[in-house]
Amino acid sequence: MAESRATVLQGTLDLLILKALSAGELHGLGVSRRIEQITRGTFSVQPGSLFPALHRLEEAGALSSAWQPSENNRRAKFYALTKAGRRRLGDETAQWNRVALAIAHALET
Amino acid sequence: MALSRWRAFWRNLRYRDQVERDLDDEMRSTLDLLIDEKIAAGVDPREARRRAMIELNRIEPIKEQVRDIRAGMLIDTLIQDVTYAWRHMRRAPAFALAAILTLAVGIGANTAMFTMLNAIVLKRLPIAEADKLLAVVPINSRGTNRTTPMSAVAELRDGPLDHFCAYLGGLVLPVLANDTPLQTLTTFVTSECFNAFGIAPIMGRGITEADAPILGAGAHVAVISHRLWTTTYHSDPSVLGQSMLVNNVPVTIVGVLPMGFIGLEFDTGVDIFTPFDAVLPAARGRRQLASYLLGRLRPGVTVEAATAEIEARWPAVLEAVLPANMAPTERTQLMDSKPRLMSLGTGISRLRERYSQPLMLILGLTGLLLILACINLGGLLLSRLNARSAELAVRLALGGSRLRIAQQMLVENGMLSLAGTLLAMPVAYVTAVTLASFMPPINVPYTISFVPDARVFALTTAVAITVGILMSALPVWFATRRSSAAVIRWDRTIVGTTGWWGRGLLVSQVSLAIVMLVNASLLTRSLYLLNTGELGIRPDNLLTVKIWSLPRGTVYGRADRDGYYPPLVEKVRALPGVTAVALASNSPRLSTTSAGSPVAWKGDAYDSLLLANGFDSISPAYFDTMGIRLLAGRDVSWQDTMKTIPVAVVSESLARALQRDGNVVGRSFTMRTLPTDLEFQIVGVVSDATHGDPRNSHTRAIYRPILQVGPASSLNPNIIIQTTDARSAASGVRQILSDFGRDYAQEIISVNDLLARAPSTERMSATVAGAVSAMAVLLALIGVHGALAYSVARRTREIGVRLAIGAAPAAAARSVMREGILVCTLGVALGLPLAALAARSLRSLMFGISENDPATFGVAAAVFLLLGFVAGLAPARRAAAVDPVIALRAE
Repeated sequence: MAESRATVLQGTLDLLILKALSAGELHGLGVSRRIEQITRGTFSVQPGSLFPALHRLEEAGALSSAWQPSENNRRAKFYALTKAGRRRLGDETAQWNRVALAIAHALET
Repeated sequence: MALSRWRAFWRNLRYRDQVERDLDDEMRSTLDLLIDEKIAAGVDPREARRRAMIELNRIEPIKEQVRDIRAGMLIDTLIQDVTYAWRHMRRAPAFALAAILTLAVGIGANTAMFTMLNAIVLKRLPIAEADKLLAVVPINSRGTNRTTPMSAVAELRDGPLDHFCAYLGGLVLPVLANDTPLQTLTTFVTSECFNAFGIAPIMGRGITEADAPILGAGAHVAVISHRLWTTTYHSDPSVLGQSMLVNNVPVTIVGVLPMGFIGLEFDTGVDIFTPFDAVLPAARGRRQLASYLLGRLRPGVTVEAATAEIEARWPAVLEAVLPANMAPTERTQLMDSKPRLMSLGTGISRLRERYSQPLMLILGLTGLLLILACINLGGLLLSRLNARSAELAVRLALGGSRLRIAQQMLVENGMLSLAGTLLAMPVAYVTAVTLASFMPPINVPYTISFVPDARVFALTTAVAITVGILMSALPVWFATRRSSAAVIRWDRTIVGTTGWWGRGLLVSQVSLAIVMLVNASLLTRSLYLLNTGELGIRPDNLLTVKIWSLPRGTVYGRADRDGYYPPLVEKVRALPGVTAVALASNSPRLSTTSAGSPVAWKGDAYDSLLLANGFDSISPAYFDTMGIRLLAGRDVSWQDTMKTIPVAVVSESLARALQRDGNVVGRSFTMRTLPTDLEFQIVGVVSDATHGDPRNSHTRAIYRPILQVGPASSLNPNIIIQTTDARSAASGVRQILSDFGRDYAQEIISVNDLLARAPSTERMSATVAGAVSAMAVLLALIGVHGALAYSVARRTREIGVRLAIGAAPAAAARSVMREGILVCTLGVALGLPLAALAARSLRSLMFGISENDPATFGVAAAVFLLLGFVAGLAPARRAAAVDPVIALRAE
C-alpha cells in the first residue's frame, strides 16, 4: 500500500488533476486532497510533482488560475479547468478507458 | 495550445519578477493552508507548523522544479548564469583576461593554420560538381608524364568523359590589354573546355570548334576572365570585338567568363583563354602538347569503368597521335604509359603540393598548443574551484542541484571561450596573411584569399565549443562529485597540496611543451644549417634583374637575340662598380626537376639511373659571375649560336656520372626530351653549385649557351650583375633596358635576398614551430607557477602551524621548490620519448641534423628543469615569509 501511495502512474497525474478540478476550482493543496479522496487514498501526490504539473497544465492552457480567498479566508491560488482543459479531460478519459480495457483484457487471457 | 505556451513564454520572460513573486506566494499560502488543516484536526499550532514544514519537505526544491517546467526556462537560467558569470569575472579580471588571451592565442593560431590549409589545400574549383571533372594522365614507369599531344582529344571524344577537351595551362606570355601591360597567365583550350567546366560566358561566346581545330592553327580570338574585364576594362560592355596583344599577336576578345572562374590554376588564376596554336605557333609538323586532357564523367559511369575503357583504347590513341618521325625508343616509352584518371576538382596548385605537409604539421603543433592551453585553463579553473568550494557547499546545502551548478560552470567557461574566439578571429587573419608572405613569390601574383569562409567559421565554432567543454570537464566533475559536507570540511582542512589531479595536469602540460620545444628546435637548427650550408656559388655582391618584355617591344626572333643580348651585357658591364655580368634563364635558382631527364653518350641506350636534373641557359662569363669554377674545357661563348653545333657545359657531378674519371670534354651526349631528343657536345666541366638549396649539393646540371636555345622557350633571362654599388647598378640597368626599348626590369633583388626566400617551407615551419613552442613554454611556466602559488596560498595555515611549532622557514620554501622540480622532472621524463616519436614525422623537413640530436633533447630537458626551478622561486619566497600569527588568524 505504501508503495502504491508513493507512485503515481506515469502520465496519469495530469488526468487525475484534470478530473479533480472537473467538479470545480481548487487551490493546490485542495487538488492534492481531492485526488486522495477520489482515488480512495490510493494516490498521494507529492508537492514536488503536483506544483510543476499544475504550472505545466496552466502554461499549456488546460487550466486557468486566480487568487481568491480560501474556505478559511486565506488568500490562495485557485485553479480551474478551461474549455481546452475540459476537452482534454474528455480525450484523456476516453484514451485511458481504452488502455485500461485493453490491459484488463490482456491480463484475463 | 501552442499559443498559450507562447503567451506563457512571454509572460515568464517579461514579468519574471511577478511570476516569481506569485510562485512564492503560492508556496507560502499552501504552507498556511496545510497548517490550518492540521490545527483544524486538533494539532497544537506549533507542532502543526513543524509537521506542515516536513510534509512540504523543502520549499526551494519545489520552486526549482516548477521553474524547470516553465516555458523559456532555458533562456531564463542562461541569463541568470551569464549575469552571474559576468559578476564573477569582474571580481577576478586578471584571471578572466589571462584565460581569454590564452584562448585567443590558442584558437587564433589554429584558425590561422586552418585558414591557410583551407585556402591552399582544401578549396575546390568554383564550378558545379567539381568532383566529376577528370583528367587523363598517362603514367609511365618513372612517374607522371603529363604531356600528351592535344590531338588525342579527337580520338577519345566518344569515350567515357563528356565534353572531352585539351588544356594547356599557365603560360606567362607578355600581354597588352586596353593599353596596359599585364603579368598574367594565358591558357590554351579546345572548344569543349568551358562545357566541361560547366560554365558559360556571361557576354559573347566561348571558344568554338571553328576557333580551335584539332589540326591546324587556331583563330586569333580570346575569352577573358571576369576579373580581367572588371580591372583592366573597367567592366566596359563594349569589350567584345576589341583587340589585345598576347605574345605580340593581336587577338579579338569574343567572350567574358562569369565571376570567380579563373581556370584550373589555383595559385594565380588564368585571365586569357585562346585556342591552341594561335598566339604561340607549334613546331612545324607537330601538334602542341596539352598539359591536361579533361572532361566530365558521363552520368552513370564509374571512375573505374572509365579508366578501364580509356586504358583499353590508349595504345590505339597513341598510335594515331604520336608523330611518325618519333624515335623508336621514345615511342616505346610512351606506349608503355598507362592512362590514369585524376580528379581536377581542386584545381592545379604548386603551392598545395609544396605546403600540404608543412601545413598539416603546423596545424598539428597548434592543435597541441590549444590542448595545452585547455589543460592550463582547466588547472587554473580547478584551483579556483577550490577557492569557491565554500560557495559551492552553501549552494548544495541550500538545495541547488548539481546539474544546475554544472550548467552554470559550463556557461561561465563557455563565455570565456566565446570571448577568446571572438578575439581569435582577427589574430587568425593577421597570422595567415603574415605566414603567406613566406611563400615564395612567382612571376604572377597569387590569388589565394584568406578571407574566412563557412568552413573556417564552422571549424572555429567547433574548436571553441570543444575548448569550453575540455577546460570545464575536470572542474565540473569535481564540483558535482563532492558531497556538500565534504566540501565544507575541506575548506577547513589545514593540508592541501596541488593534489594528484592538479599534479597530473601540470606533468602533462610540461611534457606536451617539451615535445613542441624539441621539435621546434630541430626545425630551427636545420633551417640554420640550410641557410649557412655550402652553396657552391658566391652570392655576395650579386644582383639579379628579372626582365620582362615590353608589350609593344621588338618581336622575338633569333637574329634579334643574337644582336640584342651581347650588346646588352656589354653595356651593363660598363656601368661603374660592375665587375661581372651574365645572363641566365633560371639562375640564381637553377631549374631542377626531381624526376630528371635521361642522358646517354651519343649512340648508347638510355639508362634509367643516369639522369640530369638541373638545367639552365646562360651567357658567357656566367660561371665567373656566380663564382662557379671552370674545371676543364671552356666557357660558352657568344659564338655558340643556332648556326653552330649545340654545345653544353656540365657540372662535375654529371661528368662523373657519365664517365667515372670525369674526363668528358669533347664528347657528345644525348638527352631524352619531347618532342625529340637533344644532342650536345660537351665543351666544359664546372664545379657543382647548389643554387641556394644545400640539399641538392650534387646537382647534375647542364648549362647551354643562351643563343642556342630556341625562341620557343621565349621567357626572358635574368641579368646577374656582380657589383660593389648595387644602387647605381640598378638604376643603370633600368636606363639601359629602356634605351634598348624591348624589355623592362620587373624586379631587381640581391641574390642573397633571393636565396633567403628559397627554403620557404622550412622557414615557415621553423618560424611557426618556434613561436608556438615559445608560447607552450610560457604556458607551462604560468601553469606550474600558478599551481605552486595557489598551493602556497591554500597552505598558509598549515605552513603557519609548522612555523609556529618550530619549523624553519627554509624548510617550507624547500617543500614548494621540490614540488615544482618534481612536476617538471616527471614532465621531462614523459615528454622526451614523446618528442622523439614526434620528431620522426619531421624527418623530411630536416637537413644536416638527426631527428634524435642529443644536444637538442638535452637542452630542452635542461630548459624545463630550470623552468621548474624558476616557477617555484616566488611561491617559495612567499611560503618562507608566512607570519604564523597572521596565518592562524586568517580564518
